[in-house]
Amino acid sequence: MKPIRAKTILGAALVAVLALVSLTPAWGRDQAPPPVVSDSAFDHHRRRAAPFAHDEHNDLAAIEDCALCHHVVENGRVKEDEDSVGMECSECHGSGLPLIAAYHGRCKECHQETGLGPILCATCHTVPR
Amino acid sequence: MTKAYVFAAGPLLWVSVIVFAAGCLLRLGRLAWLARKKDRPVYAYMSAHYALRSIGRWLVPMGTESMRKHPVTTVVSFAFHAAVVLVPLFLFAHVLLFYEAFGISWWTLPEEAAYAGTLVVLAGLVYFFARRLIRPEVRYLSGPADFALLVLVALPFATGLWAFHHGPGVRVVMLLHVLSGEALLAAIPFTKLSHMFLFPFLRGYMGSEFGSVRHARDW
Repeated sequence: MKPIRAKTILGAALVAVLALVSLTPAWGRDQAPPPVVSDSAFDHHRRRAAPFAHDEHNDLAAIEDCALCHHVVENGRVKEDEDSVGMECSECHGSGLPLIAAYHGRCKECHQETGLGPILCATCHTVPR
Repeated sequence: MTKAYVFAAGPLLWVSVIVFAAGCLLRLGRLAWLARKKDRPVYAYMSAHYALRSIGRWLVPMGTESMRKHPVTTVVSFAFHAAVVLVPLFLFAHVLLFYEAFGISWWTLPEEAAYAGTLVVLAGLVYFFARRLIRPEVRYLSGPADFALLVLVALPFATGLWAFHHGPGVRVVMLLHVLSGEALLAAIPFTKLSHMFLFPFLRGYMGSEFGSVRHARDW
């Protein structure tokens, strides 16, 4: 038997991986766009924005204090009895990584501490790219 | 599942990083001690000049006789090694997690490049797997551990790709992603994957022996 050549092996390897990948992107395509967290400072989305139904979420989580998320921070301290409702997060948190980290700090960290919400990338950013 | 993930991505990550770092130092120390015991002349003829000359030459694609004889394997190997190192270190999602934990960040790959790199890694692994099965001279040198190692390298990349596409069972897959990545990191010092940090010494040894003892080139 003639030895099988490296090029043949490479060809077969590429076909195997491409076949696997071409089957995958169809997952999760058939969802209607839900309401999402949004901020005008996000001009380039690495992941699609996380769906977030504000009132339903807060009913379910029994959150009544707006300032829990819409906080006002001065000199490194959260100011009591004040909230930042109506402001965009980016007005204080800037853009890029700090802004993303601020969102993750509000959502993911609370979910992790309470054990009551999603914390994995794909479980919040539910619409594939 | 959340608890398992938090444990895997927290304390277990520290364990794997410590095993990796301590394992690398231990291997290096043991090899230095072994060389002193069994191959003492090494220390006399090790030469920085010949070592670096050989390392440099073997880092250039098609720079050596052996690479020119196996052009397909050379191209696959260089592309694979570039991707297998760059994708995990410069993936945006990984850098973001590091930033959220330690406040430090660095340059990241565009998503398309990371995606392409992941496919290069997986295709490369399928190639290496098939090559070990098919080429008689490589099959002769291959044991079950060598095939298992290829699967271990594939796991974090395959599960990462799966999670990126939001495939079924994404929670279990993400847990597997973290666990397999940690297993891979911890396995590096104790398996053939140790060539990741040993290659400069092997290459330097060969370069020195060929350069300062045999007065020949080793490429």
